[in-house]
Formats: sequence, structure tokens, C-alpha cells
Amino acid sequence: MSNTRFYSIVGILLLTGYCWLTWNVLADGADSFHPTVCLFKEATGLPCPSCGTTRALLLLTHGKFSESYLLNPFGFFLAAGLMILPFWLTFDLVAKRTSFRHWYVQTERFFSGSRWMIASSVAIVIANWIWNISKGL
Amino acid sequence: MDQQHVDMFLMTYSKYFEGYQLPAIREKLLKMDETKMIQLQAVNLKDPMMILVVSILVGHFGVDRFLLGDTGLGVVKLLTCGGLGIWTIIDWFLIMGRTREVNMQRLAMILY
Repeated sequence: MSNTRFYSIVGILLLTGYCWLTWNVLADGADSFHPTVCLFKEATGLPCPSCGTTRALLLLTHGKFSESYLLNPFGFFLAAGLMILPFWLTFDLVAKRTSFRHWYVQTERFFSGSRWMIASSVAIVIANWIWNISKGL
Repeated sequence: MDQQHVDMFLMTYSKYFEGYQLPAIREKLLKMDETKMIQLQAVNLKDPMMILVVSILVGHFGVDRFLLGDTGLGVVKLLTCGGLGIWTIIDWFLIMGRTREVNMQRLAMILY
């Protein structure tokens, strides 16, 4: 994958994320607004491991950190990505460097290199999934 | 490698690569040293059709991307509910091409 393609994909993902979040923030509180985009939830009626992250992010924008954590802890990861990445990408673009891609490749190697890392990540996701189902998100 | 082995390899794995890549692969395999045969047999090639089935069934959780070694994209797909459900559908159309691309990269590590 070329650098241009990599940074375009990350840029598109970020832009979509911000558009989705802005739409949700603007429509927050409206009674008729209950968007469900999760295919798994639509098909089975059960929440997926990351269901509720939008609601968790909305709670974060209101400063309700503990409630956000209790709704879905994955919201923190996305919030961190949404806050850090625009600056990192802009820095790479302006300085004509590929520091983010370098970090991404290193992290990917670190996570997929060790069996323990993979097993613990899968365990965390499954634990969160069970928690989501029990919360009835 | 002798012609019979090369043709056998190409017959078995022709669906695993893009059609236009096959003549080049054939040429490289014919010139390849016999000692690399074991390495060639050990290459982890993925069946595009199998990955498509995985993508349709559990692509929502990024499993298709994890299988191809795109761990980062897999995690993002998982954390965003399959990219708001849109990415999941887009990947049904992209994943076979990506599988062939990954297969070619893995084979190229031995051939070149």
C-alpha cells in the first residue's frame, strides 16, 4: 500500500467519524433520533462488542466519564484516536514525514507478533461483548 | 523447478492470484531454485473465496482483515461497528482483491 493511499484511508475514516459524531451531537436528545447502523444488531437483535460507542462518545462530550465507561469502554479508544489523529496527520502532511505510518506498522507488529497479546485482546473484546449483551445495549 | 511442478502449482493456486500475474509467476517459478521448494510449500496463502465467506459472516467484527494480517484495519473495523456497517458491505466487494494482493506479496518474498 502506498503512503498516499494509507493516509487517504485514515483521512476518510477520520472525516466519516467526525461527520457521524457531529450529526449525533446535533440531534442529541431528539426523541425521534435512534439510528442503528450495526448490521449485527439489525440481523440478530443482540448488540455487537462495539455497540454503544457513539453513545459513550456523546457522554464524553458532556464530561460524564464514568457513565461513558460503564456504557462502553471502547469509547475511550475512539475518543483518543479522534483527538490525536487530526494533529498527527496534519504534522505528517506539513513536515512531509511518515511518522504515523511508522508507528502504525510497529504497533501492528507488536500486537500480532505475540500469541499472548492476541489472546488477551480477544479475551477483552469477548468480555466486553458479554457485558454489552448483559446491559442490553 | 521443473515444468510439471510449476503447472501443478499454478493449477492449484490460479484462483489465489490475479490473472495478469500468472505468466510472471510461472516464469519466476521455472527459474526458481529447487531448494526453495520447501519454503514455497510453507507459504501461508489464503483462499479468496474462503475469506469472502468469512467477510460475509463475521466481517462486521473485522475477522476478514485479521486473517489477512491487516490487524490495524481489523481493530478499527471492530471498534466502529464495522465502519458504521458501511465498511462491512464495501469489504464484501474489496476483500477478494485484497486477498490476492496479500497472496502475491507473500509469494514475492520467496520469488524475488
